Amino acid sequence: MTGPSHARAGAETDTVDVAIIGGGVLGTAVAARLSTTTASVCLLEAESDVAEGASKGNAGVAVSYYGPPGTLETQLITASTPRWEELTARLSVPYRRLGAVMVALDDEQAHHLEETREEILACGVRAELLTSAQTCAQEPLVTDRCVAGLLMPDEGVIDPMALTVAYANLAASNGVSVRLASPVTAIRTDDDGRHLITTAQGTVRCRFIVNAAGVAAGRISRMAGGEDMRYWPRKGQYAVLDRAFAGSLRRIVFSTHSATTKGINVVPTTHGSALLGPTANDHEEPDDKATDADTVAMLVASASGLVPSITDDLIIKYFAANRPASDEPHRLRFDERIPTLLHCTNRSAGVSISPAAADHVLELLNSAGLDAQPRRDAAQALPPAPRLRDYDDPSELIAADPQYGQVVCACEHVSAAEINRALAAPVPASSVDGVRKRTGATYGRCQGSLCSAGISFLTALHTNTGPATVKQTARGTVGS
Amino acid sequence: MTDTIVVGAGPSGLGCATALARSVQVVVVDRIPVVGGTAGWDHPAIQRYADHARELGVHFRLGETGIRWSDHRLLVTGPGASTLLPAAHLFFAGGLRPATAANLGLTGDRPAGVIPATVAEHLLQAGVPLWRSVAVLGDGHWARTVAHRARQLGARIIGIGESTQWADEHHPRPRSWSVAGASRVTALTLSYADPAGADTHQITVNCDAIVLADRPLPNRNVDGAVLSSAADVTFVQPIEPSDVQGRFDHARHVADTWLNSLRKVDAP
Ligand SMILES: Cc1cc2nc3c(=O)[nH]c(=O)nc-3n(C[C@H](O)[C@H](O)[C@H](O)COP(=O)(O)OP(=O)(O)OC[C@H]3O[C@@H](n4cnc5c(N)ncnc54)[C@H](O)[C@@H]3O)c2cc1C
Repeated sequence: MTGPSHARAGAETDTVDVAIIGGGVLGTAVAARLSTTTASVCLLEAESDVAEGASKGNAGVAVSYYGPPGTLETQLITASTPRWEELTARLSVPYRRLGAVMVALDDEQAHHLEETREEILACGVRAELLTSAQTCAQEPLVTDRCVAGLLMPDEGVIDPMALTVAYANLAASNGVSVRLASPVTAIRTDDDGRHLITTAQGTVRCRFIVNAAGVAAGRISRMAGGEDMRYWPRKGQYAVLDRAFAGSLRRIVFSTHSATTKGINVVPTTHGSALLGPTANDHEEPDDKATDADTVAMLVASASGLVPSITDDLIIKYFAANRPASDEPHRLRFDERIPTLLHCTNRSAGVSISPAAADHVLELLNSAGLDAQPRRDAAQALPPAPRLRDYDDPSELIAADPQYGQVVCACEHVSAAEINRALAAPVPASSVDGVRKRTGATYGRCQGSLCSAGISFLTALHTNTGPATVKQTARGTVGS
Repeated sequence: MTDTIVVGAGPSGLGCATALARSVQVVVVDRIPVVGGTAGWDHPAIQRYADHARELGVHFRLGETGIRWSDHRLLVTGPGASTLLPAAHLFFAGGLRPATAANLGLTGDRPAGVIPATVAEHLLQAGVPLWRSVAVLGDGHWARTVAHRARQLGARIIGIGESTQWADEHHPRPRSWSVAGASRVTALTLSYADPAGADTHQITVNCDAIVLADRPLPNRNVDGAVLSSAADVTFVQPIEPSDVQGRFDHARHVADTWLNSLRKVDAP
């Protein structure tokens, strides 16, 4: 039933009940959920790490509200919202329920704010209209030009990469075979209805396919003979602000939604930094994650309209990611042609729906005959993963493990213990960027000027390679 | 109670410590287990400064990292232990680092092969030929050493900046620059303002690595001692002078000035 409890890029044929295609937040959430049942599961990811698609480059807002009432997306958000504290404690993932203020800068926006409040209440979610003074009291850094605000107390921020990795680690420690660097290239369906999936690293035979391939979900569906559905990348750019400034933000600051856009927000992260963004531009090339100077300038201009003390010299980094856009913004349902192909994609709130979406997928699979039963010996939690930076007095932590006293990333105060843990996890970091995704090391104001040589050497050691051939990112090495 | 803490045991930190130790107690903290900072522990002047500081009673905590400065206490961690060091004042002499991609306004893709000069130095020191064609961005003091080492190891050097004599190919500093490459760097695009009008013209430089080696900026990594407005902190991280003796003397002067200001406050 269960494979070895470690990630691998094996070349053998696995025979499993469920093959999940895509190691983003949705694919890994489903893998973690199924891993606690009697179903046998395999996760296939094209890249050499999980969290390389949309799940790497989002803001990590665990939203309490995203769209109109009555949709499956809204149901899943509402079901996930109260679960974050328990879930993130269990998976050792950084999370902060900060609450958000949505800010109106003129009367027209104030009017929109009232409409938004109506919709939020209709979803059964808490929201409270604020005067200008109340808004500034909730978040003192908000401009005094604001005319009204909306308090959304249930919003939170999560580390979306750490969440994805944690889902994958839980799945792998419960025996899910996590096959990285395994792009699916063909899917054949036998007469008995079993699927034979060809990857770059061997084949997998399965009863059910969960298509969690994000922007590539349309391609997977076509390979399997399923519906013809179009996905395209919708790029969002972000600028990251220094912790020394962003640490003083208390709340997420949203701009007022308009009829056409949700606007540019200021989002504190679980690392203490803050994100300005996102933009939304449809294009055709999924690999295009380029940022550009004009957009960055626009981000700063828009964000400083909300929080006037934001200036461009506070920026420590830019990045972009692509949402998996499609004519159905969320698609969590069986294919109309292939009854054992289950689509599992979400354009803009995949992080936020992930806990309840995983439950939903399990129910759908069971209703189609999977018969997955809870497994009593399955782990529901990961070992605690303390971070040095969270301790006012880390003496006990360091006494228990001396490596916590050895600071590798000086800007973000990431210790050798945290880095070695990431390099030795069930789904381990295998590149310098993989270490960053799991620990935040090199994510600070010097962007690794001081520490990334050291992290390269540690990563080379763990991955059995040398300083030139060690991976800097999931796709490329330090040397060429 | 310790009167002062100096973070950084390079020429600037040693200069502060030497001047301060004549009047107040001093503890010097450095994350590297030896003195010298980027000047190196084996630099003859460094050895002299450190010996002299010890004679004056300066206490060194080497191999320990300053993390957080609040309520006149510095949280310091080292392998196996952490300490809250009390002090009236913190001198931060944490040295310089190259400007980052964001500092330089470098946009575009984020593939492998974009490397800070300090990291490139380390890796090239290991003697491994890393790249065939390197674009060195900027003309900070790292540029020359990186270019020299990379060329010795067989790479072609493209220099971008004002004074790039060390390069095989030269381009002036553009108005903006951006990186191209999906998995690894393939090119750097330089955009220049056309003298004639608002239009820009672009040059695409093919390369398999980009080294960020522009102007130095101060390293800041102790929480509570990052912004120049931090209370009870003096930053000793000048860009110039850049030589060991010059930095030592400058730091002594900064510390003396601080001591003098104390005396003025103490006088009735
Ligand atoms: C700019 C931006 C901001 C966002 N902000 C938020 C937010 O604040 N809160 C929130 O909840 N959501 C947010 N989102 C949305 C969220 O990021 C997505 O909904 C979510 O990440 C989608 O997860 P996924 O697992 O479906 O897709 P992905 O993370 O894209 O994962 C798909 C995976 O499939 C793999 N794959 C593709 N093809 C194949 C193949 N042939 N074989 C094997 N594997 C394959 C890919 O490599 C990839 O790893 C944001 C998105 C963006 C882009």
